[in-house]
Amino acid sequence: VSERAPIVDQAEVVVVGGGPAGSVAAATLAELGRDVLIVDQSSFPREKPCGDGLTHSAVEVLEELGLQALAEEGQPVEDCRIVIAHGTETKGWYRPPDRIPRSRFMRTVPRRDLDQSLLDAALERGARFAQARVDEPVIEDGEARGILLSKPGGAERIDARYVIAADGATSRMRRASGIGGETAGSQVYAVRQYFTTQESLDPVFDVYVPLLYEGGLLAGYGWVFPIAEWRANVGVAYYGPPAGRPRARIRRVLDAFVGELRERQAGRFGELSDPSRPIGSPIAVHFSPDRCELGNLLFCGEAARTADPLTGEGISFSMRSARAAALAADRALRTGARPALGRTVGREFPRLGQNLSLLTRVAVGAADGFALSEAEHQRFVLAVRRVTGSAPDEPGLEATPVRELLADEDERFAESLDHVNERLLDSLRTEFPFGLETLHREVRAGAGPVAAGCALAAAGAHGDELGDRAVAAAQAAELVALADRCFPRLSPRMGSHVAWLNNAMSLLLGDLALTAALGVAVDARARCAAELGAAIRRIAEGEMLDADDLYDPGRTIERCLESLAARAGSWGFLAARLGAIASGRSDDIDAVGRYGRDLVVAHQIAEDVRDLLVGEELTRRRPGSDLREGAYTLPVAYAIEADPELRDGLSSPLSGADAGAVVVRIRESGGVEQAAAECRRFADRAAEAAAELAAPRGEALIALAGLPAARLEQVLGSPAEAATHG
Amino acid sequence: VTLARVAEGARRSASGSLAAAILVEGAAPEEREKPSIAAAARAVEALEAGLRLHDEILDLGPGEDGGDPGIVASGLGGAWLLGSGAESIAELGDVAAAMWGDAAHRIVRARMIEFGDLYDAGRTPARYLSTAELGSGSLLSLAARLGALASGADQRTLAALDEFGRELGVAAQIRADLAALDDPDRPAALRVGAGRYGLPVLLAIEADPGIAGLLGKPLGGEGLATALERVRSAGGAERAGEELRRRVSGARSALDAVSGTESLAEIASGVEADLAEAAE
Repeated sequence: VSERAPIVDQAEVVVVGGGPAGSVAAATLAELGRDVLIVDQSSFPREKPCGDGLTHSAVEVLEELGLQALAEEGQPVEDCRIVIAHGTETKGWYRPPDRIPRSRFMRTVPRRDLDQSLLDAALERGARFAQARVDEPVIEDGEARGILLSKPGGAERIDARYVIAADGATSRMRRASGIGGETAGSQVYAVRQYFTTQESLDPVFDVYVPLLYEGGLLAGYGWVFPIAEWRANVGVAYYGPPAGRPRARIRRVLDAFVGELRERQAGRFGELSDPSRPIGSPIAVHFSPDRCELGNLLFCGEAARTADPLTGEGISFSMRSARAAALAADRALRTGARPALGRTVGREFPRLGQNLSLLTRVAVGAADGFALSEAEHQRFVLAVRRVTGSAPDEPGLEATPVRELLADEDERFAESLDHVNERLLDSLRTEFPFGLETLHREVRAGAGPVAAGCALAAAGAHGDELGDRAVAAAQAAELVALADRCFPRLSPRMGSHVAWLNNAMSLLLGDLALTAALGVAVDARARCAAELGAAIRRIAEGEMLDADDLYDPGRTIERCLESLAARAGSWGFLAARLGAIASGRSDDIDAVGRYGRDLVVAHQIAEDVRDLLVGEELTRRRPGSDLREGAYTLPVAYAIEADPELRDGLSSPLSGADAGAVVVRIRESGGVEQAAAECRRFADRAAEAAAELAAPRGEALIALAGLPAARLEQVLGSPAEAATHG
Repeated sequence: VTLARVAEGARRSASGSLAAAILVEGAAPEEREKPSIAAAARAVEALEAGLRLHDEILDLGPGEDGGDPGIVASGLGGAWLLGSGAESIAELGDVAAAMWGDAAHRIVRARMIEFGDLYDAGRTPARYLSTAELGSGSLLSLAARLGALASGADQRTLAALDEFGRELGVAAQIRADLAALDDPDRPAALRVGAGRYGLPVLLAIEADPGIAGLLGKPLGGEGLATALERVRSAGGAERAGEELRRRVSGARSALDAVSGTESLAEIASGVEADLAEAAE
């Protein structure tokens, strides 16, 4: 058909679909001077099923396109409120990162207006638009040559050097191209309807769980988003069974939800009147980085299945993936190089492609029976927030102290660390919920990837180039350090969904990191597997010591040091030796191991002091978290030795206020300073070892030895200041 | 506590000893008593036992809010065993260590998929089979290949043993899940109550979609017994048994191209015979 079809137009790039993804891709390409044609079967403006919410990430893209005015005209949203069973309510769920100014906070803009404005922006930049129904891509010799249009008089053809498919969740281009990726797993559906409210609406979006239907629960949620002071977007999104199985009638689910709102939220909204026609559609989740492109046919937005699998949110991901597709196409046209879109998009949105339906099921389970105690509810809220609260928008390591420090020494270390980071992301990316997100946050927390940095510094000290083996060694070392952060979170309690989920996550993520490390270690050298196995055993033994000592105020300084040597010391020892082995070093490998052990023990003491005094924002650990969890670290042991009465009250969990009082007494007793002194002793030993090992290129080892003291100084001041201020 | 649980688990679980048996029988007769085979068997046992300890914790599910110190011991003990296994396998060199590491990672990924599918009565039989191949299949494939590798087998033999192990692994997993239907008080049945829906349950849902309505939530006692009875009535056991026999047959066929594997074929037949015995 494509050979017979008359060619009616041509462009460098044809974009199929005029929604946010298509318009952003076209606008980006037009701005780069490309001849770009948008083809969509609709005439604009047109309605579109959506919650109409623009996250701060979406607002950011609009700003980049110079469309901040559009966002500013939208309805501001300042918070998210979760309403459980029309009873318990919690606010404070919308927490953009600190770097986001208030002007970029979330907004709502009806899709009818948003899509029209984005299309206008693309046309103003020089893109062209054609209204036509697109049947399929024209593929010849494995290359996309254009698209085939369905016209009453027969098929017509538009030729192009690149084709970007942005035709939404039910993408014809995707089906016709046979790229696949449709899954037999759960499907997400959403439907929305506008209502006028009798009461004015707060600048808050409401999420309602559980979602009730015909006396049962659906895995999903209902929403009420303000789109004007008296007008609301009301909708439901839920996970249905896999395709082909009977599912709930989506309109009826919405009707049931609206009925509930009328009955149980009348005080908040008053009468809901003037309903619009309800419209709905599936939401395309299950993103897969290897199903974003077929040669010069690129997929973006929901055609690449980029919607957030937990919330169904899709606009920001659509726009970002569209920009990535446009830039990839432009680069390919300039250089002839094949785009690697999946990898780019996958790196930019690491949490996509993970099936988060589990969390929804947990939410449903926790709300089941409508009888959550206040304490249980709080724990549930905290657990969910921990999991979902801070998706890594920028999963690089740029801001981590380890990378900054090594980059100052030699840019090749920074490059290698970035390479390690890419490999870490790859090795932790699974189908499973939030595994990568949770683990990668641990890599970036605190000083950053200390184990990987240590391994690279040890490899670099030998003077060779930092090759693949060094990178593999660093990756394996960091994965072992990660596992050491997972297993200790096991709790003997299994009584609630939250405790059970916590234990399951600790085990599964710990196993994932460990087995990934084992797989990677042999990429460095076979001997690494033996080194790694021995280290894992010693670390597990150290973790057992700590588990035995939980809430034991009789824990001694010696016991703390024993545990530090077994856990931190072992992975430091391992990291440095793996780096050395990978670089082919054999003469002074034991000395390298001792360097790593002393460095990481010093690092751990510094981090223990920081946990006590300032906590860690990225992993949402409040100051004194170890103390409240019964893990009495070195500063606590020193303090108890100086002030034995501190033991009273430490044999059981502390309340927040009590923990604060204990921290004050620990500081007064000099426990923090003594631990800091111990930290510096270990760091000094590492620095001495580094000086002996330094030739010919070991400056990075010396620099890294200064890291623990620098981390301490940030919270305690310099040793002289600390002495002055007590 | 860890030692006690490993010993108890080894008595209850067939898959650990099955992997060790396959490993030894996969080696050439003159190699079977060599230290390298013992080291490989230790590594496979450690992998299976370590991950099984972790599985047992997951299987507990949310229950009474009491507290069991054994949970932490088992969790950390499992990690210790993985480390121990890595040390053992390193004795066999690069290729064996790479095989072991790769299989371990695959098995963990399979467990993650299973965990994500908990309480999902819409899980398809195809998804079950691909996950079982990734998990149990990877373990038995590793065992079969390691034994042969230590005897200097060529690539063609290793490929055949890989297929043998994957097919037999799926069969063994089906056999374990069929045990749920023998007695509602057995651990396999309790796993169904805790949301782990094996092939017999999924095939029964295909035949009688109403069963899905009974599932999707924690079940015990009468509720679980009722659901399992419906699974039996819908022919879940028979259909899963057919799949098991197909897999055993596939495992045996994979051995056709390799000489001296009669004992492995016998092990495969044993899985089928065990099913027949249970049916009687």
